[in-house]
Amino acid sequence: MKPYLGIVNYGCGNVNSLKSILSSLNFNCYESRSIKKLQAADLLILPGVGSYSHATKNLRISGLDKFLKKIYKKKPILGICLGMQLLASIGYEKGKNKGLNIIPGKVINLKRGKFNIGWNTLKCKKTNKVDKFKEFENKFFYFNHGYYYLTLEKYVYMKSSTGDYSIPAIIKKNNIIGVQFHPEKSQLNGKKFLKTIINELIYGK
Amino acid sequence: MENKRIIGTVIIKENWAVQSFGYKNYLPIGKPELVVENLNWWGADEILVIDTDSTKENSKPNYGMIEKIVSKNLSTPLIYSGGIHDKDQAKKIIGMGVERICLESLLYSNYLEVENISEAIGSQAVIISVPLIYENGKILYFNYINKKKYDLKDHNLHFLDSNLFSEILIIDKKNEGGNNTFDMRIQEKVLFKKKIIVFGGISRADKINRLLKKNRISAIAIGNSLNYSEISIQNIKKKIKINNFRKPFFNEYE
Repeated sequence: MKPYLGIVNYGCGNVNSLKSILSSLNFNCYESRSIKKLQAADLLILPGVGSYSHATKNLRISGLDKFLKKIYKKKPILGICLGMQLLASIGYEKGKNKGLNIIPGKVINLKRGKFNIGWNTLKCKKTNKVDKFKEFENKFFYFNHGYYYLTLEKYVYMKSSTGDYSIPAIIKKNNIIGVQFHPEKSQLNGKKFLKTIINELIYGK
Repeated sequence: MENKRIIGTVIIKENWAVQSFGYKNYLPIGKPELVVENLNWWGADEILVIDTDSTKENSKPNYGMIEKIVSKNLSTPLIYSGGIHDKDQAKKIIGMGVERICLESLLYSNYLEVENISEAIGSQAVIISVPLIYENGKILYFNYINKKKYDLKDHNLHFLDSNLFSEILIIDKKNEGGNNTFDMRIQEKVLFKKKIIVFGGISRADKINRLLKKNRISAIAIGNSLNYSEISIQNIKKKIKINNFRKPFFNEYE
């Protein structure tokens, strides 16, 4: 039986982009803000185009923050862009806001007025033991953010460079993966990435 | 170093993708969703859709057209411009499958709402469009609503360096639609601190290379000329001679 992917609709994000790409990859997926419906998913995806403050507020109001803080121990989660950043302990976009604290770290700005917008390559860390990520080394992915995730090196699996910065592009802790780029908008590389990582998270292969 | 981008641009008038000549004369090309689909296959770095009807006063975003475009399962980042007046509209458009929006008149008519939009969708998703004209040694700002031109010096644009948005789209209003007619003096004279995207009469590789070598230009938006031939994005990309650039990409038909 094909697994079900639940896209967490917390009112921020290009939910439809993700849904259509996942469907084109032959995944069963649905979007919902209902905790009951999301509990039934085999994998949860946190999408994201928005600001940290707005997103955390929406999660809090909907009660999805409490649900995600509990469920991550049992269910794999893929966080994309802002969805990845929400996994952090705290974020500083438009004020100081508490995140989900699933992968310890903080979300800070690149530099006042600076953004990382466009196509960049991924670099493997030497200590990276996840072979699945290695095939994406030096491949281009689409980034669009002004804030980045500062976390412990042990959680960083791939990095990307933008100007003076080397930023975490893929972070991982147990069965939780966060990606700073938008695989759903990274053309063929993005599709391959989603297919590989989703299978990795669900089946461990 | 940041990689520079080629943005495939589609101008919409009365629900048709058109070739535009200075936003005055138009020739129909085809259905917007099909033109956008081609740009997606050809590996554009981003796709910008500008609905000219929606820039009129009191108009709304063209949701019906956006829906048809996103139904094509695009895997290229999409930018939409036209008729966005408030936060709810911006959020709805992003939710539909658009990654970034472009604002223009709202900046002058309701700056507070620009703040609200930026708060809701993040400043990385907001681009500000500034139509300019070079005339008699001056840079003039063109207002689409009242069709008047203003000396850029007299027009208070200091807020264009605000953190509410990520990039500025400079349109060469006079030369838009021309064959390589973009006036280089425009990008030389404007001194915004933000990264800029340039658009209007840019078609040939020589000019694209000259523009992309400028530090503050992050992307080139190309419109009409992309419709003259197949795989035009790849053909343009092959001629780009800078290093910080994604090479042409050939998508597989599935």
